[in-house]
Amino acid sequence: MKFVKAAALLMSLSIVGMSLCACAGEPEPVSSDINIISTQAQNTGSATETSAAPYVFDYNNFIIGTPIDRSKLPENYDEVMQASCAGVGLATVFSTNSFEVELRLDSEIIAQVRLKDDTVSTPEGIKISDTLDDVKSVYGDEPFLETSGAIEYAIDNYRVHFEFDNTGKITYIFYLDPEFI
Amino acid sequence: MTESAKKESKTIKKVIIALVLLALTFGILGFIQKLLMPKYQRGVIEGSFTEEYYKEKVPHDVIILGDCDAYESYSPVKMYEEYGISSYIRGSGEQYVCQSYYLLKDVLRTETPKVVVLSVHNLQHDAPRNEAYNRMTLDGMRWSKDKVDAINVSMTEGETFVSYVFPILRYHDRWNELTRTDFEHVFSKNITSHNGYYMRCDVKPMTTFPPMPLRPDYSFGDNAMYYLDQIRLLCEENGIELLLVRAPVEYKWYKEWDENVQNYADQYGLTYINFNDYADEMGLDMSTDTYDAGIHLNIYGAEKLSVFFGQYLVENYDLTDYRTVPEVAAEYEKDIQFYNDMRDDQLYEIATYGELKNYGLNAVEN
Repeated sequence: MKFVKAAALLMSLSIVGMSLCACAGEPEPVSSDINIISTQAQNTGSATETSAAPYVFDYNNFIIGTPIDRSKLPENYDEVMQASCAGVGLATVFSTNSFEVELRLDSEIIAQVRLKDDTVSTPEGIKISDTLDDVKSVYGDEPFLETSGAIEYAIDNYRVHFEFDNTGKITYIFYLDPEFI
Repeated sequence: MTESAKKESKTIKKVIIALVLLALTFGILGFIQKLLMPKYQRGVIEGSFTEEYYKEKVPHDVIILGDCDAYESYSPVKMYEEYGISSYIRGSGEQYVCQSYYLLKDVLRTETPKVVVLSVHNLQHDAPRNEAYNRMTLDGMRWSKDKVDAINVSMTEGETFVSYVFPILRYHDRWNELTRTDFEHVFSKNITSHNGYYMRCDVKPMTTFPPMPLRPDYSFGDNAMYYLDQIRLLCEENGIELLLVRAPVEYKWYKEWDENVQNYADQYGLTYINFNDYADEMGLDMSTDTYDAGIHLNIYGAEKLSVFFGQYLVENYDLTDYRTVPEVAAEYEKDIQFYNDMRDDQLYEIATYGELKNYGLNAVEN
């Protein structure tokens, strides 16, 4: 009888033990909503490292790689949630008439800023409809990357991208997440 | 009874009790594990796709591998209805090329298709990068050496092999989040896909995509290319035609990547079809044929592509018209019924509520 009791106790303990203590060395626990796994992965970026980034959109301190301060958005803006494949993460996009701010998946960290019209400009003074020459006169003749329709400048991992139409005028400006590879 | 015989009988009794308790322990743990694992029956159903393949009762001439580009773009049921093609999509969310390779090996354990279609969209990821996607692809895979190898090449930092063997180690903290769905589907799950196809009937017109960032190097990674080679060689060894495709979706795809795939196809005598080049020919209209602003096709887009692609398949490969094989046709009749029922249900929800309620991310497990 003693043996049965001891064995039953051992069984109970092993069930409880295996159920509860097995997470050592594992990534953070997974919930039913598996999105959380990616959330944890996405949130590892440090916001403080980015304050000295040279190519940042300087409107009310919407700085790539730092947390967004929603109170600084203009009064009228749209907020759209974009799901990634198979629902692993949602990216929030704030859209104003002049620019869009996209956050990293399941995060408050700013991943991309896109300028939409010529009412806003980069801190260096370049705006939509300026020309390639304008860009080069401000940012220099040695871009990080250049193709026939686009040019990018970078310092460290902070990049600003200019897109041109056939006439050589800027149609799109955006800043990239420094974690973009 | 002698003293030693009594002792022996006692020992046997103890051993039997120990074995029974051990079996009971594993039984209870097994039940708890099954209960705690995500069921993927509503909302994010993509985690069900891998294991649904094992419920198939018919042979497949065409196997399609890949990520969402594969499982949201081709409708095997439509291809059967139009051409009698028997096909299955072994797709999963952000399926990495290494996983496509092992899923193909897994297929070859039970059948040898005539054509393997690889959706090349996943070549952009050199190696697995997200555990959530790994889990959705691998947890449902049947145990074999291929699953073991697939896990070993897929694990990201912090993942452990043992947690794939005993998923309870990964999902144990779900105990306070269990829903009715978890209890209903401990031992059996409903089929959620249509031969691997993820059906969406809602419409959200495509607008314009922001331009893509430039890249210093547009080559695919060595690891991705290694597994593409492995897929090609595996097909060659088994006398299977390998076809490379890209769905007619322009989102996040560089023309340089297209050139890479074309060069690879030219080098090895393969065919590569980027269906973006045939969008007009198949009548694709991204104001109606996508449910998420152009990132994925909805049923209207997928059916247009399937009619076009099916025509290509029957013209270029020696495929069986399974509409003439009664036992296969009988199974497909059930598939067609399920397909039509889900389509009608989605259309009803859209007409009634203006959006899907029980499908897609709106459908929360309860």
